[in-house]
Amino acid sequence: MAELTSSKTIDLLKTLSSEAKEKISAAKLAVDVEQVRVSYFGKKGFISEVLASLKNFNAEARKEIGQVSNQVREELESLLSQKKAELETRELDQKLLKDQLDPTAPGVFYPRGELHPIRKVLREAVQIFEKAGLTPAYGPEVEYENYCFDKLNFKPGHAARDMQATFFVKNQGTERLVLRTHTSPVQVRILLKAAQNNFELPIRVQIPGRVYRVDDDSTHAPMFHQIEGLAVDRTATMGDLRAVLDYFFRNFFDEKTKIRFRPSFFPFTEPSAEVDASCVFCKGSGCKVCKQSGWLEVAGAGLVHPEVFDLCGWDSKSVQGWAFGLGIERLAMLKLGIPDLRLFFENRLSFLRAAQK
Amino acid sequence: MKLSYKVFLDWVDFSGGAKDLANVLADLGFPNDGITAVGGGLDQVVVGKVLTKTKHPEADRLNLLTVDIGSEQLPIVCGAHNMKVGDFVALAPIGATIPGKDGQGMAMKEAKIRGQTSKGMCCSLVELQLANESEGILILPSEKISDKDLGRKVSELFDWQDWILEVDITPNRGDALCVRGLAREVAAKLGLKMKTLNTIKWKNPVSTVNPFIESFSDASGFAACLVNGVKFGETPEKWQNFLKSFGARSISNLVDITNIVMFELGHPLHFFDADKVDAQTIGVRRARPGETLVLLNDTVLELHPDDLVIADATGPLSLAGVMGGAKSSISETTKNILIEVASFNPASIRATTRRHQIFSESSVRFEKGLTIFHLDEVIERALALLKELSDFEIAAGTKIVDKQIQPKQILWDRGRIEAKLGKIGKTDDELFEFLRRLEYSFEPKGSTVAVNFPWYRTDVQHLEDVMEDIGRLLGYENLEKKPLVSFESKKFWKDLTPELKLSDQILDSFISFGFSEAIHLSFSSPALEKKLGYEGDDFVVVENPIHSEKSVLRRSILPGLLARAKENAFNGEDEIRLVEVGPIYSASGETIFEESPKAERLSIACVWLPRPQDKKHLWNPNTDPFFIFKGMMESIWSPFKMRPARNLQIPAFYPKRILNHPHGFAGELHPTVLKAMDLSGRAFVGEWLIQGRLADERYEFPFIYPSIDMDASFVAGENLSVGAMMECFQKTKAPYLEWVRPYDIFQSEDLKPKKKSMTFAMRYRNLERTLTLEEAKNSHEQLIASVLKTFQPFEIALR
Ligand SMILES: [Zn+2]
Repeated sequence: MAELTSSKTIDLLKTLSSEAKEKISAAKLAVDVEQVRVSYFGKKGFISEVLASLKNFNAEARKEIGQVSNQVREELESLLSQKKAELETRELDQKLLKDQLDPTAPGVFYPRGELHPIRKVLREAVQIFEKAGLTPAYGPEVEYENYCFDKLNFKPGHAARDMQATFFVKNQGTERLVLRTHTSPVQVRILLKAAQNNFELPIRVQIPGRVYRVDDDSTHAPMFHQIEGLAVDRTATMGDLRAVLDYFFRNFFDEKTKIRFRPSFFPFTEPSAEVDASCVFCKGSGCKVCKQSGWLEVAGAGLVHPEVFDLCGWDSKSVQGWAFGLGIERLAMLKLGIPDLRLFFENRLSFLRAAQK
Repeated sequence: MKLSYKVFLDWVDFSGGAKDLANVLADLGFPNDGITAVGGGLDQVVVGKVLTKTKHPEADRLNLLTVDIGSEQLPIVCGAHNMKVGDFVALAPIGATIPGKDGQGMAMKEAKIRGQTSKGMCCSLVELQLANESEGILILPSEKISDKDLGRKVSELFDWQDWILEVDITPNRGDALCVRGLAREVAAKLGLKMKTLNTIKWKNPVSTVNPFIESFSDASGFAACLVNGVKFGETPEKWQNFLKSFGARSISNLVDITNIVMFELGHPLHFFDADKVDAQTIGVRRARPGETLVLLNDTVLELHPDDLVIADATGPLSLAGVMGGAKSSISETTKNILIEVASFNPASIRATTRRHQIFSESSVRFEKGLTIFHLDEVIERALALLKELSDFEIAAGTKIVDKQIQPKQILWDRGRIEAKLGKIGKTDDELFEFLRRLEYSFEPKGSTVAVNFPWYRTDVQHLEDVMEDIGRLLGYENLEKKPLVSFESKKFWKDLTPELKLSDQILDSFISFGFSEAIHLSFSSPALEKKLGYEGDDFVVVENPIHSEKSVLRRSILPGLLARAKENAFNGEDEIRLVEVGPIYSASGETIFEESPKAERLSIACVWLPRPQDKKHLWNPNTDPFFIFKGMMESIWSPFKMRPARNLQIPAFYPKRILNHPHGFAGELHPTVLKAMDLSGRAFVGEWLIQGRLADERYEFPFIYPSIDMDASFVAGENLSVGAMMECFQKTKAPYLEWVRPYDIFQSEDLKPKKKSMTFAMRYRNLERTLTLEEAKNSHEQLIASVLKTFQPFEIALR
């Protein structure tokens, strides 16, 4: 009797359960799901009522029915909360989609700022030379003619002075002033200063800065930037000079970059060299930029001229050094693909902001 | 210098092509600026003979030719008219590619021209790169060819093909501006033999010629040679072509000889008509005040007392080393000549050419310096050419040189050479052998060897000069390579790195706020500077400016930057944010460098021209641009502690819209400045001096005790500014006050007229322990009481 009754109740629970499942799956809104929950598990709910009648059964039947009803409840509760969460999410999404904000309208405009290409290249070059052990040093741009030329072994009236067309600066005093035509007068300043400091060695510096030449056409600007290198000690050789420039150009362009030295002439170095780097565009196979040679002229260099040491108060027999100079604009054009020198100083925003990374 | 490949081959038995020659020269320190092909298409064209010539039936300006090229007879349509039947022409057949008029290459195809077939083209000098301009087609000289040559390549019959190298000669190598100079270098590097020249000796000294040198510091050598019985005439084609390859033209056999010798040996010389000069009183001296000279080109030159002239008792005859005079020049009637060969002070020649703006092939060589050795050789070569191209009977003269000048000598020091060039894998004797090819000589001296420099070099005296020649001959690429080594440099100069690091950080901060960096030339004009208030005589003035707009150095970055911002606006850019950092210059005052002739300081400036169409703040917060600018400046500058700047010119700002910074200024520009700069809209600018260095950074523990936030609303007269209130809050020094921020300011009809409401938020915190509400309230009341008391005149009250 007891078994029969308990099995009936169990059947009833199972029927109610499958009914409820159907209603849950049919629910369209989160509130419908809540209603199903109330109608089965609320105080007057179908399942609650069945459980309320449990007290009429014996212990064994109660246990049996209890097990089933727990199963049914757990199953339904899980279905209910799952369905409710599902519907709530969908309803929220629908509500958000009805929002009036037009996300296709533009965002608040924050203009991009860019460093000038010369600055980018200058900073990078200075960093690479710092890694090669060259300390930055600086000097004035309005310079004594004596430091810019005479002390660098440009003899007065010598044709070498024509290599650097010079701006002169009005001066009340007796010294003739120029806008420095190269960063090399800082070499003179450093050598003179070192001569006052017991000729302490080594000196290893790099000298970045603005320089000026009387020149204004599509490939020359009256002002441009240079980095000068100077090392003075008792053993500096052409080989050391080459090692520094080789290190620089491999780091500045890429690891495969090669350099070569060709003989040249500068009044303040002897021997002097013109430095070529393998063409960054064709990797040395020959193209229009390198005039099919595979090489690009990138720097001037050499061993510090004995006259320069002597003119700056040193004994040229007991000291030696190397120096080099390179043009930042030229390097920037090669590295950043800038097609025309004039763009640097026109400072058009459409150019300055055009960098693609 | 122009160097003909063909001429070069006459001097050295060089086996490579023109490009190989250019490369060898570049390795020796004579790079080239390009190679021009001459007669580049000659091996593409064949000898043809015109058999018939008739007018084109459809076009008068065209001719129909039949041209025989041996194997066949070709119909040719030709636009030129200068050929006649029987002429030999250079014919480019179908399939040939000739340089063409533009030198870009022109491939021959069968063509129909107005209905008539043309199977090739009769070429002109220009189309074959034999001349820059020409009329009609090339008619081949008939004396050198016959019918059996029809169809042969023109290049096999005429050696017109050549390459002209544009060789760069550095200013120290006046001696290398000639074929012999360059040939010697190439021969030395490659171990080749050089040709020897025909020369004829002259009798010297003689009493009939008696030259003088006024001062050996102006001229160190002077040779004069009288040559009798010369014949004026034309120069043969071979030598005309020689001159042409150097870019010179033939004038007469006598004048041409001077140029030929100069291009061969590098030493200019001059022929006077001997019957128009006095060989007993000729010499070199400075011009006397007031003297004039009529030059070869008929210009009348007022001589300067520093000019050197060749003169005789009658006065100046020529401008020494630069140009001959008209009176004593060679003419058709010349029978006897006086050859002058000299060596002048290069600086003097250079000064004269600059002074009178006269430049010549001669002055170019003299101003680089030419030796006094081998003056005889120049005359001897001229005599040989006179024999060949003219004639003469007797040549006799006198030479004077400064005997103080001796070939330079130095002691060989292998150790020193290797200390600078690196290890050299050659013995001393091997190196000597190399150097002898450049005409070095060696002689034992004590325990070592004395090195005599080559006679032709004027710029050498140090062992380093020998090192360079060793490097050039061995090849710089073959010098010892070393690994990168690094030592810390000694520093005994004023280190500016901290200033520049600071300026880099400030610059980066501007960049992060959308400012793009501009870099301008340092030049400006007083007119432009004045627009921003920079006037007076404190400018650094350029003596020789390129342009009146670049006549001074900028005293401020702002004028140039603002002008550029305007140009950007004019070019249609908007939302212009520019920043520039760099030097500014003035004649006097503070400077960042030691021993600086003029004052140079480091400055940073910015310009902002807001988007003009953004007046409705469509995409920007609903805030006046002044406050956006002010906020940006506060954010940019807050981390940096700057030293106050002195002597800073402040431009005119919009009343009260100025931000006072100790080291500079910023704000909205006054409309009159905008007008002066031709700008519309609103402009925000700033400029600051970068003085001082980056402070050491310090971090602290973050807050750990909670804060208490309060607020206070006031009503006061509308003249009371937020700034005044903020200042009062700060001054009150209420305990625990962390910050005060205004968060609502308005005027409305709810308030009495001329009143405004201001609400501030305050945060209180004790850094050592938790703040009690009581403490916060006490502090807050103290703050409010202070404000109420201070601003009584504004009828301030709590709301
Ligand atoms: Zn290339």
